Amino acid sequence: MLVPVEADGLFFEILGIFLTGTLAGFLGALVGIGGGVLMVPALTLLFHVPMHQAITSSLVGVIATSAMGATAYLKRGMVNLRLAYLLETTTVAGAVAGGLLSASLGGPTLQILFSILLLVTGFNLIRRQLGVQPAEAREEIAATGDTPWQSILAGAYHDPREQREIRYRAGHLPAGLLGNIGAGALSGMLGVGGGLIKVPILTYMGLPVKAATATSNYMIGITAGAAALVYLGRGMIVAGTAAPVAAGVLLGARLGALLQPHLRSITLLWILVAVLTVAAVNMGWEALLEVLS
Amino acid sequence: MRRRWSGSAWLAGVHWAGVGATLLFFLAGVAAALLQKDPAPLLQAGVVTLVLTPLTGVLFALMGFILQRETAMVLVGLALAGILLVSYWLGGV
Repeated sequence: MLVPVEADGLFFEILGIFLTGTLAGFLGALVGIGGGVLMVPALTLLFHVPMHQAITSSLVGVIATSAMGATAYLKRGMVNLRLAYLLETTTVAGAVAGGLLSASLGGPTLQILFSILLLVTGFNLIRRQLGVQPAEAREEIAATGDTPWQSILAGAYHDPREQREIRYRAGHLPAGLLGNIGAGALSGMLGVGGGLIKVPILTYMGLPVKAATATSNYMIGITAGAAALVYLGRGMIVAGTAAPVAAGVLLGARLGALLQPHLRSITLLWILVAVLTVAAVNMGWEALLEVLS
Repeated sequence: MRRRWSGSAWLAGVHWAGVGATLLFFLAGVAAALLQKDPAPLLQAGVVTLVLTPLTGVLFALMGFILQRETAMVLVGLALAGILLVSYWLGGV
């Protein structure tokens, strides 16, 4: 099952990983990205953790973030559970395939793929900062022309800012099911949440952004849990790394969510874009050197 | 029209319980390390608890759909639970 922690000589490394996890969770919560995108490069570049170990530890951190976020989103009734479970049937299949593929790929290949993901995430943050937002979903879609599934997958939540109930229906089901295979594969293969793909798919399907974010957050935990099962079965999760990552990300995400309304995140966002770019170049370069040598 | 299952509060409870139990295991692991004992089993138990938390939520929801006789969602839940079982089996291959 799990690889045990070596008993001695690891205290400061574990403390360092915990603090890095806290920072990753904090920054992720401030700018709205998962901790996994920051945690994997931090583990490989700062702590020289092997790529596969970094990915599996990050997955455990992703589950922690999702579980913590889900407690709030579920209580407020913002998660569309029926849609989440239906989409998870293909997402989990993608995640398992991604996990199996990742287990068979070499570290340098995964590093190159992760470098590309870091650059895409940075580009996405810039786009968001420049105001290129996904189109707001169609709210209160007319009840005419329903299919049985559209009725089953319809959702509603109370928006405290607008002081009213927002009702919506989900369409484009085949596209949603197909697109989530990719989101799952990305999560299982690289140890990230995959919200980068899930949220745009859900808004395309007709969910308001808030419901899409909450549903994506809930789905991410199930996806990462399924991929983690594959890695657990293969004995690829190292508790000595995964535990401090999970605890750190939990604490950091909580702090980030509490402080987010009081902090100006624009400067931070640009610093984060710079960090992501440097990490991408560094990881890509290291991987290329390893491939060429 | 039959009432739909709305178990969000239950599922939130499952997640709180999972996160709480995980943190307790981690804290016990730290305490064990401070007492010069091996923290590994406690940290491992924490990680496994965390991994199983969202998956337990799926089983809870499935039970809710069964109790409310939402046939379509019961089938979706069973399919998802089946895929999760297969993923664990594949991991052991």
